[in-house]
Amino acid sequence: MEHIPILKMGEYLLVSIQVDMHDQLAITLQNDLAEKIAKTGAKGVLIDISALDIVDSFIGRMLGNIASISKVLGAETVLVGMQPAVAITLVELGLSLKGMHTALNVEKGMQLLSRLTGKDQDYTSRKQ
Amino acid sequence: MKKKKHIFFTININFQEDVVVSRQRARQIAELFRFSPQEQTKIATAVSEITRNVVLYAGSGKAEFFVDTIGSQNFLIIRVTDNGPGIEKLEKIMRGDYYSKRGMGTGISGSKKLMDYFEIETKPGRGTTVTMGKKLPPVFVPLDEEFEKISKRLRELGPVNPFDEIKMQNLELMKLLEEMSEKNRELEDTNRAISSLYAEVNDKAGELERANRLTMEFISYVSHEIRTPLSSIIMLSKSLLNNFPEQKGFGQIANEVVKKIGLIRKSAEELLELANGLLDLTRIEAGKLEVVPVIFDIEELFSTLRGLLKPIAGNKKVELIFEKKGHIPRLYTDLNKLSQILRNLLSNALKFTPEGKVTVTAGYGGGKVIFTVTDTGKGIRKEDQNEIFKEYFRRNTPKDRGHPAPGGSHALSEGQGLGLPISRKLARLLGGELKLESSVLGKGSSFQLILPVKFTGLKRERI
Repeated sequence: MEHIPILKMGEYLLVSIQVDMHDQLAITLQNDLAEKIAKTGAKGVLIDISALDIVDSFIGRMLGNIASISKVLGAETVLVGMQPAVAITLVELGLSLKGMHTALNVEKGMQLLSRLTGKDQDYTSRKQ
Repeated sequence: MKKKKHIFFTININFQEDVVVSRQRARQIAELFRFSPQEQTKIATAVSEITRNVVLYAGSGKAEFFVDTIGSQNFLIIRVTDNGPGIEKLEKIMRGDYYSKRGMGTGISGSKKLMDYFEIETKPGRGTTVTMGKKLPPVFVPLDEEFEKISKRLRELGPVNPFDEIKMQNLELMKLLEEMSEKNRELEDTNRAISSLYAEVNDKAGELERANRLTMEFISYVSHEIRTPLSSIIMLSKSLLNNFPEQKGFGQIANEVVKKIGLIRKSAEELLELANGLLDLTRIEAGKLEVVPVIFDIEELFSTLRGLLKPIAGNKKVELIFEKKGHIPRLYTDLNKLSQILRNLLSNALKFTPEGKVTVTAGYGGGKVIFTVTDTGKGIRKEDQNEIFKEYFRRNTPKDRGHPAPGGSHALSEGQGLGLPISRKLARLLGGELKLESSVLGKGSSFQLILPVKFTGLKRERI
Protein backbone atom coordinates (compact mmCIF):
# COMPACT_ATOMS: atom_id res chain seq x y z
CA MET A 1 0.00 0.00 0.00
CA GLU A 2 1.08 3.52 -0.74
CA HIS A 3 2.24 5.78 2.04
CA ILE A 4 3.38 9.37 2.29
CA PRO A 5 6.76 9.34 4.04
CA ILE A 6 6.94 10.89 7.49
CA LEU A 7 10.39 12.11 8.58
CA LYS A 8 11.46 12.65 12.17
CA MET A 9 13.68 15.60 12.90
CA GLY A 10 14.38 16.20 16.56
CA GLU A 11 11.05 16.66 18.24
CA TYR A 12 9.28 17.36 15.01
CA LEU A 13 7.79 15.29 12.26
CA LEU A 14 8.11 16.45 8.68
CA VAL A 15 5.67 15.51 5.96
CA SER A 16 6.13 16.68 2.43
CA ILE A 17 3.24 15.75 0.19
CA GLN A 18 4.70 15.41 -3.31
CA VAL A 19 1.91 13.56 -5.02
CA ASP A 20 -1.69 14.29 -5.77
CA MET A 21 -3.30 12.14 -3.10
CA HIS A 22 -6.37 10.08 -3.69
CA ASP A 23 -8.75 9.92 -0.78
CA GLN A 24 -7.52 6.67 0.71
CA LEU A 25 -3.95 7.92 0.65
CA ALA A 26 -5.02 11.03 2.57
CA ILE A 27 -6.79 8.85 5.15
CA THR A 28 -3.70 6.66 5.40
CA LEU A 29 -1.54 9.71 6.00
CA GLN A 30 -3.84 10.88 8.78
CA ASN A 31 -3.61 7.48 10.48
CA ASP A 32 0.13 7.12 9.94
CA LEU A 33 0.76 10.52 11.46
CA ALA A 34 -1.37 9.79 14.51
CA GLU A 35 0.58 6.54 15.04
CA LYS A 36 3.90 8.25 14.59
CA ILE A 37 3.11 11.09 17.00
CA ALA A 38 2.01 8.59 19.62
CA LYS A 39 5.12 6.51 19.08
CA THR A 40 7.72 9.27 19.02
CA GLY A 41 6.07 11.77 21.33
CA ALA A 42 6.74 14.46 18.74
CA LYS A 43 5.88 17.99 19.77
CA GLY A 44 5.24 19.38 16.33
CA VAL A 45 4.24 18.37 12.79
CA LEU A 46 5.15 20.30 9.71
CA ILE A 47 3.23 19.53 6.54
CA ASP A 48 4.53 20.86 3.28
CA ILE A 49 1.96 21.07 0.51
CA SER A 50 3.91 23.23 -1.90
CA ALA A 51 3.73 20.50 -4.54
CA LEU A 52 -0.07 20.35 -4.45
CA ASP A 53 -1.93 22.17 -7.22
CA ILE A 54 -5.26 21.14 -5.89
CA VAL A 55 -6.63 20.88 -2.39
CA ASP A 56 -10.28 20.04 -2.49
CA SER A 57 -12.75 19.78 0.36
CA PHE A 58 -11.81 16.23 1.22
CA ILE A 59 -8.09 16.80 1.40
CA GLY A 60 -8.80 20.06 3.22
CA ARG A 61 -10.85 18.17 5.74
CA MET A 62 -8.13 15.54 6.15
CA LEU A 63 -5.55 18.27 6.82
CA GLY A 64 -7.88 19.80 9.37
CA ASN A 65 -8.36 16.39 10.98
CA ILE A 66 -4.62 15.86 11.14
CA ALA A 67 -4.23 19.17 12.98
CA SER A 68 -7.00 18.29 15.45
CA ILE A 69 -5.71 14.79 16.10
CA SER A 70 -2.14 16.07 16.58
CA LYS A 71 -3.39 18.66 19.01
CA VAL A 72 -5.13 16.01 21.07
CA LEU A 73 -1.94 13.96 21.03
CA GLY A 74 0.03 16.98 22.20
CA ALA A 75 1.59 18.14 18.97
CA GLU A 76 1.16 21.34 17.01
CA THR A 77 0.68 21.28 13.27
CA VAL A 78 1.84 23.84 10.81
CA LEU A 79 0.84 23.74 7.18
CA VAL A 80 3.36 25.34 4.85
CA GLY A 81 3.87 26.13 1.18
CA MET A 82 0.28 26.45 0.07
CA GLN A 83 0.08 27.83 -3.44
CA PRO A 84 -1.82 31.10 -3.79
CA ALA A 85 -4.27 29.54 -6.21
CA VAL A 86 -4.99 26.78 -3.71
CA ALA A 87 -5.50 29.30 -0.95
CA ILE A 88 -7.93 31.30 -3.08
CA THR A 89 -9.80 28.16 -4.07
CA LEU A 90 -10.06 26.95 -0.50
CA VAL A 91 -11.51 30.22 0.63
CA GLU A 92 -13.99 30.27 -2.24
CA LEU A 93 -14.92 26.72 -1.43
CA GLY A 94 -15.74 27.90 2.05
CA LEU A 95 -12.90 26.13 3.81
CA SER A 96 -10.85 28.37 5.98
CA LEU A 97 -8.86 25.63 7.76
CA LYS A 98 -9.73 27.20 11.08
CA GLY A 99 -7.58 26.16 14.01
CA MET A 100 -4.74 25.24 11.76
CA HIS A 101 -1.46 27.06 11.81
CA THR A 102 -0.09 28.01 8.46
CA ALA A 103 3.13 29.49 7.25
CA LEU A 104 4.38 30.60 3.91
CA ASN A 105 7.33 28.23 3.64
CA VAL A 106 9.21 25.55 5.53
CA GLU A 107 11.56 27.99 7.16
CA LYS A 108 8.79 30.14 8.57
CA GLY A 109 6.92 27.03 9.49
CA MET A 110 9.80 25.73 11.60
CA GLN A 111 10.06 29.04 13.37
CA LEU A 112 6.35 28.96 14.06
CA LEU A 113 6.60 25.43 15.39
CA SER A 114 9.43 26.39 17.71
CA ARG A 115 7.39 29.24 19.03
CA LEU A 116 4.31 27.12 19.43
CA THR A 117 6.11 24.35 21.27
CA GLY A 118 7.72 26.91 23.53
CA LYS A 119 11.23 25.87 22.70
CA ASP A 120 12.91 28.55 20.86
CA GLN A 121 15.06 26.16 18.96
CA ASP A 122 16.09 27.99 15.90
CA TYR A 123 16.99 25.81 13.06
CA THR A 124 17.78 28.71 10.78
CA SER A 125 19.44 31.70 12.29
CA ARG A 126 19.51 33.16 15.75
CA LYS A 127 19.92 36.62 14.51
CA GLN A 128 16.68 38.39 14.25
CA MET B 1 -27.11 26.14 -24.71
CA LYS B 2 -26.69 24.44 -27.96
CA LYS B 3 -24.50 25.26 -30.87
CA LYS B 4 -21.37 23.32 -31.47
CA LYS B 5 -19.86 20.97 -29.04
CA HIS B 6 -16.33 19.73 -29.15
CA ILE B 7 -15.97 16.88 -26.77
CA PHE B 8 -12.31 16.84 -26.04
CA PHE B 9 -12.08 14.24 -23.47
CA THR B 10 -14.00 11.68 -21.52
CA ILE B 11 -12.91 10.03 -18.31
CA ASN B 12 -14.70 7.05 -16.83
CA ILE B 13 -15.01 7.28 -13.09
CA ASN B 14 -15.07 4.11 -11.04
CA PHE B 15 -12.47 4.41 -8.32
CA GLN B 16 -11.02 6.96 -5.92
CA GLU B 17 -7.96 7.12 -8.14
CA ASP B 18 -10.17 8.32 -10.99
CA VAL B 19 -10.96 11.42 -8.95
CA VAL B 20 -7.25 12.23 -8.97
CA VAL B 21 -7.00 11.50 -12.69
CA SER B 22 -10.05 13.68 -13.40
CA ARG B 23 -8.78 16.70 -11.51
CA GLN B 24 -5.31 16.42 -13.01
CA ARG B 25 -6.83 16.16 -16.46
CA ALA B 26 -9.09 19.10 -15.70
CA ARG B 27 -6.08 21.15 -14.71
CA GLN B 28 -4.17 20.18 -17.86
CA ILE B 29 -7.14 21.00 -20.05
CA ALA B 30 -7.65 24.33 -18.29
CA GLU B 31 -4.00 25.08 -18.87
CA LEU B 32 -4.34 24.29 -22.57
CA PHE B 33 -7.23 26.74 -22.76
CA ARG B 34 -4.91 29.31 -21.22
CA PHE B 35 -6.76 29.72 -17.98
CA SER B 36 -4.71 31.43 -15.28
CA PRO B 37 -3.16 29.15 -12.64
CA GLN B 38 -5.79 30.27 -10.16
CA GLU B 39 -8.58 29.40 -12.51
CA GLN B 40 -6.90 26.09 -13.33
CA THR B 41 -6.90 25.21 -9.65
CA LYS B 42 -10.51 26.24 -9.24
CA ILE B 43 -11.67 24.16 -12.21
CA ALA B 44 -9.63 21.19 -11.06
CA THR B 45 -10.96 21.50 -7.52
CA ALA B 46 -14.56 21.67 -8.71
CA VAL B 47 -14.02 18.61 -10.88
CA SER B 48 -12.47 16.85 -7.92
CA GLU B 49 -15.50 17.58 -5.74
CA ILE B 50 -18.07 16.47 -8.27
CA THR B 51 -16.26 13.33 -9.43
CA ARG B 52 -15.71 12.32 -5.81
CA ASN B 53 -19.45 12.44 -5.32
CA VAL B 54 -19.79 10.05 -8.26
CA VAL B 55 -17.43 7.54 -6.62
CA LEU B 56 -18.98 7.99 -3.18
CA TYR B 57 -22.66 7.90 -4.02
CA ALA B 58 -23.11 6.38 -7.48
CA GLY B 59 -20.13 4.06 -7.76
CA SER B 60 -19.44 4.91 -11.37
CA GLY B 61 -20.02 7.56 -13.96
CA LYS B 62 -18.09 9.71 -16.40
CA ALA B 63 -16.72 13.19 -16.87
CA GLU B 64 -16.81 14.85 -20.29
CA PHE B 65 -14.91 17.96 -21.25
CA PHE B 66 -16.07 20.13 -24.12
CA VAL B 67 -16.53 23.69 -25.25
CA ASP B 68 -19.96 25.18 -25.65
CA THR B 69 -21.51 28.58 -26.17
CA ILE B 70 -23.79 30.02 -23.55
CA GLY B 71 -25.26 33.33 -24.57
CA SER B 72 -22.50 34.81 -26.64
CA GLN B 73 -19.75 33.44 -24.50
CA ASN B 74 -17.61 30.36 -25.04
CA PHE B 75 -17.39 28.12 -22.04
CA LEU B 76 -15.23 25.20 -21.09
CA ILE B 77 -17.87 22.76 -19.92
CA ILE B 78 -17.35 19.76 -17.72
CA ARG B 79 -20.31 17.45 -17.54
CA VAL B 80 -20.25 14.73 -14.91
CA THR B 81 -22.95 12.06 -15.17
CA ASP B 82 -23.78 9.02 -13.13
CA ASN B 83 -26.61 6.55 -12.75
CA GLY B 84 -26.60 6.58 -9.00
CA PRO B 85 -29.46 7.08 -6.56
CA GLY B 86 -29.66 10.83 -7.20
CA ILE B 87 -29.46 13.55 -4.58
CA GLU B 88 -32.20 13.91 -2.00
CA LYS B 89 -31.51 17.09 -0.09
CA LEU B 90 -30.37 19.09 -3.08
CA GLU B 91 -31.69 22.44 -1.84
CA LYS B 92 -30.03 22.07 1.51
CA ILE B 93 -26.81 21.04 -0.15
CA MET B 94 -26.92 23.98 -2.52
CA ARG B 95 -27.35 26.39 0.39
CA GLY B 96 -24.18 24.93 1.86
CA ASP B 97 -25.54 24.04 5.29
CA TYR B 98 -25.58 20.33 4.73
CA TYR B 99 -23.16 18.30 6.76
CA SER B 100 -21.56 15.41 4.90
CA LYS B 101 -19.83 12.59 6.68
CA ARG B 102 -17.06 12.29 4.15
CA GLY B 103 -16.51 15.70 2.62
CA MET B 104 -16.95 19.08 4.19
CA GLY B 105 -20.49 19.28 2.92
CA THR B 106 -19.24 21.89 0.56
CA GLY B 107 -18.62 19.78 -2.54
CA ILE B 108 -21.55 20.91 -4.63
CA SER B 109 -22.15 24.36 -3.19
CA GLY B 110 -18.42 25.06 -3.19
CA SER B 111 -18.02 23.88 -6.78
CA LYS B 112 -20.82 26.20 -7.80
CA LYS B 113 -18.93 29.09 -6.28
CA LEU B 114 -15.75 28.08 -8.09
CA MET B 115 -17.37 27.94 -11.53
CA ASP B 116 -19.13 30.51 -13.70
CA TYR B 117 -21.87 28.19 -14.80
CA PHE B 118 -23.37 25.44 -12.73
CA GLU B 119 -26.38 23.28 -13.34
CA ILE B 120 -27.44 20.15 -11.57
CA GLU B 121 -30.11 17.72 -12.67
CA THR B 122 -31.06 14.91 -10.38
CA LYS B 123 -33.97 12.65 -9.75
CA PRO B 124 -34.15 10.05 -7.01
CA GLY B 125 -33.09 6.75 -8.49
CA ARG B 126 -32.35 8.29 -11.85
CA GLY B 127 -28.81 9.48 -11.38
CA THR B 128 -27.28 12.90 -11.38
CA THR B 129 -25.86 15.12 -14.09
CA VAL B 130 -23.73 18.11 -13.11
CA THR B 131 -22.87 20.52 -15.88
CA MET B 132 -20.44 23.23 -14.93
CA GLY B 133 -18.54 25.72 -17.02
CA LYS B 134 -15.97 28.41 -16.93
CA LYS B 135 -15.82 31.26 -19.39
CA LEU B 136 -12.91 30.80 -21.72
CA PRO B 137 -10.25 33.43 -21.04
CA PRO B 138 -10.10 36.33 -23.53
CA VAL B 139 -6.57 35.27 -24.50
CA PHE B 140 -7.94 32.06 -25.99
CA VAL B 141 -8.88 32.34 -29.64
CA PRO B 142 -11.80 30.06 -30.29
CA LEU B 143 -10.73 28.85 -33.72
CA ASP B 144 -11.04 25.37 -35.08
CA GLU B 145 -7.25 25.10 -35.37
CA GLU B 146 -6.93 25.89 -31.70
CA PHE B 147 -9.41 23.18 -30.74
CA GLU B 148 -7.61 20.83 -33.06
CA LYS B 149 -4.30 21.63 -31.39
CA ILE B 150 -5.73 21.03 -27.95
CA SER B 151 -7.28 17.72 -28.95
CA LYS B 152 -3.95 16.62 -30.39
CA ARG B 153 -2.07 17.73 -27.30
CA LEU B 154 -4.48 15.83 -25.06
CA ARG B 155 -4.06 12.68 -27.07
CA GLU B 156 -0.31 13.00 -26.77
CA LEU B 157 -0.44 13.34 -23.02
CA GLY B 158 -1.59 9.77 -22.70
CA PRO B 159 -2.61 8.35 -19.41
CA VAL B 160 -1.85 10.49 -16.40
CA ASN B 161 -0.22 7.56 -14.67
CA PRO B 162 0.34 3.86 -15.22
CA PHE B 163 -2.50 3.24 -12.84
CA ASP B 164 -4.91 4.05 -15.66
CA GLU B 165 -3.62 1.32 -17.84
CA ILE B 166 -3.37 -1.24 -15.07
CA LYS B 167 -6.87 -0.33 -14.07
CA MET B 168 -8.13 -0.89 -17.60
CA GLN B 169 -6.47 -4.27 -17.73
CA ASN B 170 -7.84 -5.09 -14.32
CA LEU B 171 -11.31 -4.15 -15.41
CA GLU B 172 -11.04 -6.42 -18.41
CA LEU B 173 -9.72 -9.22 -16.25
CA MET B 174 -12.55 -8.71 -13.78
CA LYS B 175 -15.03 -8.83 -16.62
CA LEU B 176 -13.46 -12.02 -17.91
CA LEU B 177 -13.48 -13.47 -14.43
CA GLU B 178 -17.12 -12.59 -14.08
CA GLU B 179 -17.92 -14.28 -17.37
CA MET B 180 -15.90 -17.28 -16.30
CA SER B 181 -17.70 -17.58 -13.00
CA GLU B 182 -20.97 -17.15 -14.88
CA LYS B 183 -20.01 -20.04 -17.15
CA ASN B 184 -18.87 -21.95 -14.12
CA ARG B 185 -22.23 -21.45 -12.48
CA GLU B 186 -23.98 -22.63 -15.61
CA LEU B 187 -21.76 -25.69 -15.70
CA GLU B 188 -22.46 -26.36 -12.06
CA ASP B 189 -26.17 -26.09 -12.69
CA THR B 190 -25.93 -28.48 -15.60
CA ASN B 191 -23.85 -30.81 -13.50
CA ARG B 192 -26.37 -30.77 -10.72
CA ALA B 193 -29.18 -31.43 -13.17
CA ILE B 194 -27.23 -34.35 -14.64
CA SER B 195 -26.49 -35.78 -11.20
CA SER B 196 -30.11 -35.67 -10.20
CA LEU B 197 -31.11 -37.19 -13.53
CA TYR B 198 -28.50 -39.86 -13.01
CA ALA B 199 -29.85 -40.57 -9.53
CA GLU B 200 -33.34 -40.82 -10.99
CA VAL B 201 -32.16 -43.20 -13.70
CA ASN B 202 -30.40 -45.22 -11.03
CA ASP B 203 -33.58 -45.41 -9.00
CA LYS B 204 -35.53 -46.46 -12.05
CA ALA B 205 -32.94 -49.09 -12.86
CA GLY B 206 -33.20 -50.41 -9.32
CA GLU B 207 -36.98 -50.49 -9.57
CA LEU B 208 -36.82 -52.25 -12.90
CA GLU B 209 -34.41 -54.77 -11.52
CA ARG B 210 -36.71 -55.41 -8.57
CA ALA B 211 -39.70 -55.67 -10.90
CA ASN B 212 -37.78 -58.05 -13.13
CA ARG B 213 -36.78 -60.19 -10.20
CA LEU B 214 -40.36 -60.31 -8.95
CA THR B 215 -41.58 -61.25 -12.42
CA MET B 216 -39.00 -63.99 -12.64
CA GLU B 217 -39.88 -65.28 -9.20
CA PHE B 218 -43.53 -65.26 -10.13
CA ILE B 219 -42.92 -67.06 -13.42
CA SER B 220 -40.71 -69.56 -11.68
CA TYR B 221 -43.32 -70.22 -9.01
CA VAL B 222 -46.20 -70.55 -11.46
CA SER B 223 -44.33 -72.81 -13.87
CA HIS B 224 -43.24 -74.98 -11.02
CA GLU B 225 -46.77 -75.28 -9.67
CA ILE B 226 -48.21 -75.97 -13.11
CA ARG B 227 -45.87 -78.85 -13.77
CA THR B 228 -47.43 -81.22 -11.26
CA PRO B 229 -51.03 -81.07 -12.55
CA LEU B 230 -49.72 -81.17 -16.09
CA SER B 231 -47.77 -84.31 -15.36
CA SER B 232 -50.95 -85.83 -13.95
CA ILE B 233 -52.89 -84.92 -17.10
CA ILE B 234 -50.18 -86.42 -19.29
CA MET B 235 -49.95 -89.60 -17.23
CA LEU B 236 -53.71 -90.01 -17.09
CA SER B 237 -54.21 -89.40 -20.81
CA LYS B 238 -51.36 -91.80 -21.55
CA SER B 239 -52.92 -94.54 -19.48
CA LEU B 240 -56.31 -93.84 -21.07
CA LEU B 241 -54.79 -94.15 -24.55
CA ASN B 242 -52.96 -97.31 -23.64
CA ASN B 243 -56.11 -98.96 -22.38
CA PHE B 244 -58.47 -97.82 -25.09
CA PRO B 245 -57.33 -99.75 -28.17
CA GLU B 246 -58.11 -103.02 -26.38
CA GLN B 247 -61.77 -102.13 -26.02
CA LYS B 248 -62.65 -102.16 -29.62
CA GLY B 249 -66.22 -102.39 -30.66
CA PHE B 250 -67.07 -98.90 -29.60
CA GLY B 251 -66.26 -98.09 -33.18
CA GLN B 252 -66.70 -94.58 -34.34
CA ILE B 253 -67.11 -93.10 -30.86
CA ALA B 254 -63.98 -94.77 -29.55
CA ASN B 255 -61.91 -93.41 -32.43
CA GLU B 256 -63.20 -89.93 -31.75
CA VAL B 257 -62.42 -90.21 -28.02
CA VAL B 258 -58.92 -91.57 -28.70
CA LYS B 259 -58.24 -88.69 -31.05
CA LYS B 260 -59.41 -86.12 -28.51
CA ILE B 261 -57.45 -87.65 -25.65
CA GLY B 262 -54.43 -87.57 -27.94
CA LEU B 263 -54.97 -83.88 -28.45
CA ILE B 264 -55.32 -83.32 -24.70
CA ARG B 265 -52.08 -85.15 -24.15
CA LYS B 266 -50.26 -83.25 -26.86
CA SER B 267 -51.44 -79.92 -25.50
CA ALA B 268 -50.48 -80.91 -22.00
CA GLU B 269 -47.04 -81.95 -23.18
CA GLU B 270 -46.56 -78.65 -24.94
CA LEU B 271 -47.69 -76.82 -21.84
CA LEU B 272 -45.24 -78.80 -19.77
CA GLU B 273 -42.52 -77.95 -22.23
CA LEU B 274 -43.42 -74.29 -21.87
CA ALA B 275 -43.39 -74.53 -18.09
CA ASN B 276 -39.99 -76.23 -18.19
CA GLY B 277 -38.66 -73.63 -20.58
CA LEU B 278 -39.86 -70.81 -18.38
CA LEU B 279 -38.36 -72.47 -15.36
CA ASP B 280 -35.05 -72.84 -17.17
CA LEU B 281 -35.16 -69.23 -18.21
CA THR B 282 -35.79 -67.98 -14.70
CA ARG B 283 -33.05 -70.19 -13.38
CA ILE B 284 -30.57 -68.89 -15.91
CA GLU B 285 -31.64 -65.29 -15.19
CA ALA B 286 -31.18 -65.84 -11.50
CA GLY B 287 -27.80 -67.49 -12.13
CA LYS B 288 -29.03 -70.57 -10.35
CA LEU B 289 -28.19 -72.95 -13.15
CA GLU B 290 -25.10 -74.95 -12.38
CA VAL B 291 -22.84 -76.41 -14.99
CA VAL B 292 -22.00 -80.03 -14.38
CA PRO B 293 -19.24 -80.92 -16.82
CA VAL B 294 -18.60 -84.55 -17.74
CA ILE B 295 -16.27 -86.24 -20.22
CA PHE B 296 -18.03 -87.75 -23.20
CA ASP B 297 -17.64 -88.57 -26.84
CA ILE B 298 -19.54 -86.77 -29.54
CA GLU B 299 -20.87 -90.06 -30.82
CA GLU B 300 -22.67 -90.67 -27.55
CA LEU B 301 -24.37 -87.32 -27.86
CA PHE B 302 -25.38 -87.97 -31.44
CA SER B 303 -26.86 -91.37 -30.72
CA THR B 304 -28.92 -89.99 -27.83
CA LEU B 305 -30.23 -87.20 -30.03
CA ARG B 306 -30.90 -89.58 -32.88
CA GLY B 307 -32.92 -91.80 -30.59
CA LEU B 308 -34.89 -88.86 -29.24
CA LEU B 309 -35.70 -87.18 -32.50
CA LYS B 310 -35.94 -90.01 -35.00
CA PRO B 311 -39.64 -90.57 -34.13
CA ILE B 312 -40.51 -86.94 -34.80
CA ALA B 313 -38.58 -86.91 -38.04
CA GLY B 314 -40.05 -90.24 -38.95
CA ASN B 315 -43.57 -88.89 -38.79
CA LYS B 316 -42.69 -86.40 -41.46
CA LYS B 317 -40.93 -86.81 -44.70
CA VAL B 318 -37.79 -85.42 -43.21
CA GLU B 319 -34.40 -87.01 -43.24
CA LEU B 320 -32.33 -86.48 -40.09
CA ILE B 321 -28.59 -86.70 -40.70
CA PHE B 322 -25.76 -86.60 -38.12
CA GLU B 323 -22.29 -85.97 -39.48
CA LYS B 324 -18.87 -85.88 -37.84
CA LYS B 325 -16.24 -83.99 -39.78
CA GLY B 326 -12.72 -85.14 -39.06
CA HIS B 327 -11.35 -85.96 -35.63
CA ILE B 328 -13.07 -84.46 -32.65
CA PRO B 329 -11.51 -84.88 -29.21
CA ARG B 330 -13.56 -85.98 -26.26
CA LEU B 331 -15.58 -83.15 -24.79
CA TYR B 332 -15.54 -81.96 -21.24
CA THR B 333 -18.69 -79.93 -20.72
CA ASP B 334 -22.26 -80.18 -19.45
CA LEU B 335 -23.77 -82.94 -21.54
CA ASN B 336 -27.36 -82.25 -20.51
CA LYS B 337 -27.18 -78.61 -21.43
CA LEU B 338 -25.45 -79.25 -24.72
CA SER B 339 -28.04 -81.84 -25.52
CA GLN B 340 -30.79 -79.40 -24.59
CA ILE B 341 -29.40 -76.79 -26.95
CA LEU B 342 -29.11 -79.22 -29.84
CA ARG B 343 -32.54 -80.66 -29.09
CA ASN B 344 -34.00 -77.18 -29.27
CA LEU B 345 -32.26 -76.45 -32.53
CA LEU B 346 -33.27 -79.77 -34.01
CA SER B 347 -36.89 -79.67 -32.93
CA ASN B 348 -37.11 -76.16 -34.35
CA ALA B 349 -35.55 -77.33 -37.58
CA LEU B 350 -37.94 -80.28 -37.78
CA LYS B 351 -40.89 -78.09 -36.89
CA PHE B 352 -40.23 -75.68 -39.72
CA THR B 353 -39.23 -78.26 -42.27
CA PRO B 354 -42.30 -79.97 -43.74
CA GLU B 355 -40.11 -82.09 -45.96
CA GLY B 356 -36.47 -82.37 -46.97
CA LYS B 357 -33.63 -82.90 -44.57
CA VAL B 358 -32.14 -81.68 -41.33
CA THR B 359 -28.40 -82.04 -40.95
CA VAL B 360 -26.26 -81.82 -37.84
CA THR B 361 -22.54 -81.58 -38.42
CA ALA B 362 -19.80 -81.37 -35.84
CA GLY B 363 -16.33 -80.06 -36.59
CA TYR B 364 -13.27 -79.17 -34.54
CA GLY B 365 -10.83 -76.31 -34.70
CA GLY B 366 -8.83 -74.13 -32.30
CA GLY B 367 -9.97 -75.89 -29.16
CA LYS B 368 -13.58 -75.49 -30.13
CA VAL B 369 -16.32 -77.75 -31.39
CA ILE B 370 -18.60 -76.30 -33.99
CA PHE B 371 -22.06 -77.76 -34.38
CA THR B 372 -24.05 -76.70 -37.40
CA VAL B 373 -27.75 -77.47 -37.68
CA THR B 374 -29.03 -76.97 -41.19
CA ASP B 375 -32.53 -77.51 -42.46
CA THR B 376 -34.28 -77.14 -45.78
CA GLY B 377 -37.37 -75.56 -44.24
CA LYS B 378 -39.21 -72.29 -44.42
CA GLY B 379 -36.34 -70.06 -43.50
CA ILE B 380 -36.56 -66.93 -41.41
CA ARG B 381 -37.58 -63.56 -42.70
CA LYS B 382 -34.84 -60.97 -42.67
CA GLU B 383 -36.70 -58.63 -40.33
CA ASP B 384 -37.14 -61.51 -37.87
CA GLN B 385 -33.54 -62.68 -37.91
CA ASN B 386 -32.51 -60.27 -35.17
CA GLU B 387 -35.56 -61.05 -33.08
CA ILE B 388 -35.44 -64.81 -32.84
CA PHE B 389 -33.10 -64.80 -29.86
CA LYS B 390 -35.40 -62.57 -27.85
CA GLU B 391 -37.71 -64.15 -25.29
CA TYR B 392 -41.30 -64.88 -26.31
CA PHE B 393 -40.66 -64.02 -29.92
CA ARG B 394 -42.56 -66.30 -32.22
CA ARG B 395 -41.95 -66.73 -35.88
CA ASN B 396 -44.88 -65.50 -37.80
CA THR B 397 -44.72 -66.63 -41.35
CA PRO B 398 -47.43 -64.91 -43.40
CA LYS B 399 -48.99 -68.26 -44.07
CA ASP B 400 -49.62 -68.95 -40.40
CA ARG B 401 -51.29 -65.71 -39.55
CA GLY B 402 -54.99 -66.23 -38.96
CA HIS B 403 -54.89 -69.74 -40.38
CA PRO B 404 -54.29 -72.29 -37.68
CA ALA B 405 -52.81 -75.45 -39.06
CA PRO B 406 -55.33 -78.19 -39.57
CA GLY B 407 -55.72 -80.91 -36.97
CA GLY B 408 -56.61 -78.63 -34.05
CA SER B 409 -53.11 -77.30 -33.80
CA HIS B 410 -52.89 -74.09 -31.81
CA ALA B 411 -50.33 -71.39 -31.34
CA LEU B 412 -48.20 -73.51 -29.05
CA SER B 413 -47.33 -75.83 -31.86
CA GLU B 414 -45.25 -73.00 -33.29
CA GLY B 415 -43.14 -73.07 -30.13
CA GLN B 416 -43.21 -70.94 -27.05
CA GLY B 417 -40.65 -68.48 -28.28
CA LEU B 418 -38.32 -69.67 -25.55
CA GLY B 419 -36.20 -72.32 -27.22
CA LEU B 420 -33.67 -70.11 -28.93
CA PRO B 421 -33.21 -67.56 -26.14
CA ILE B 422 -32.73 -70.35 -23.62
CA SER B 423 -30.35 -72.15 -25.96
CA ARG B 424 -28.26 -69.06 -26.47
CA LYS B 425 -28.12 -68.44 -22.73
CA LEU B 426 -27.09 -72.01 -22.12
CA ALA B 427 -24.45 -71.77 -24.85
CA ARG B 428 -23.01 -68.69 -23.18
CA LEU B 429 -23.17 -70.41 -19.82
CA LEU B 430 -20.97 -73.11 -21.29
CA GLY B 431 -18.56 -70.45 -22.54
CA GLY B 432 -19.70 -70.68 -26.14
CA GLU B 433 -21.95 -68.89 -28.56
CA LEU B 434 -25.02 -69.65 -30.60
CA LYS B 435 -25.83 -67.75 -33.73
CA LEU B 436 -27.87 -67.87 -36.86
CA GLU B 437 -25.40 -68.53 -39.63
CA SER B 438 -27.67 -68.00 -42.56
CA SER B 439 -31.25 -68.20 -43.54
CA VAL B 440 -32.95 -67.92 -46.87
CA LEU B 441 -36.70 -67.66 -46.93
CA GLY B 442 -38.14 -70.80 -48.46
CA LYS B 443 -34.73 -72.50 -48.66
CA GLY B 444 -33.89 -73.17 -45.04
CA SER B 445 -31.77 -71.95 -42.14
CA SER B 446 -28.47 -72.83 -40.60
CA PHE B 447 -27.59 -72.32 -36.93
CA GLN B 448 -24.10 -72.55 -35.52
CA LEU B 449 -23.13 -73.49 -32.00
CA ILE B 450 -19.53 -72.97 -31.02
CA LEU B 451 -18.38 -74.48 -27.74
CA PRO B 452 -14.99 -74.84 -26.09
CA VAL B 453 -13.97 -78.46 -25.99
CA LYS B 454 -13.05 -78.03 -22.36
CA PHE B 455 -15.41 -76.15 -20.10
CA THR B 456 -13.52 -73.74 -17.84
CA GLY B 457 -15.80 -72.66 -15.08
CA LEU B 458 -13.64 -69.68 -14.30
CA LYS B 459 -14.43 -68.03 -17.56
CA ARG B 460 -18.09 -68.14 -16.85
CA GLU B 461 -19.61 -65.00 -18.21
CA ARG B 462 -22.59 -63.10 -16.96
CA ILE B 463 -25.61 -63.95 -19.02
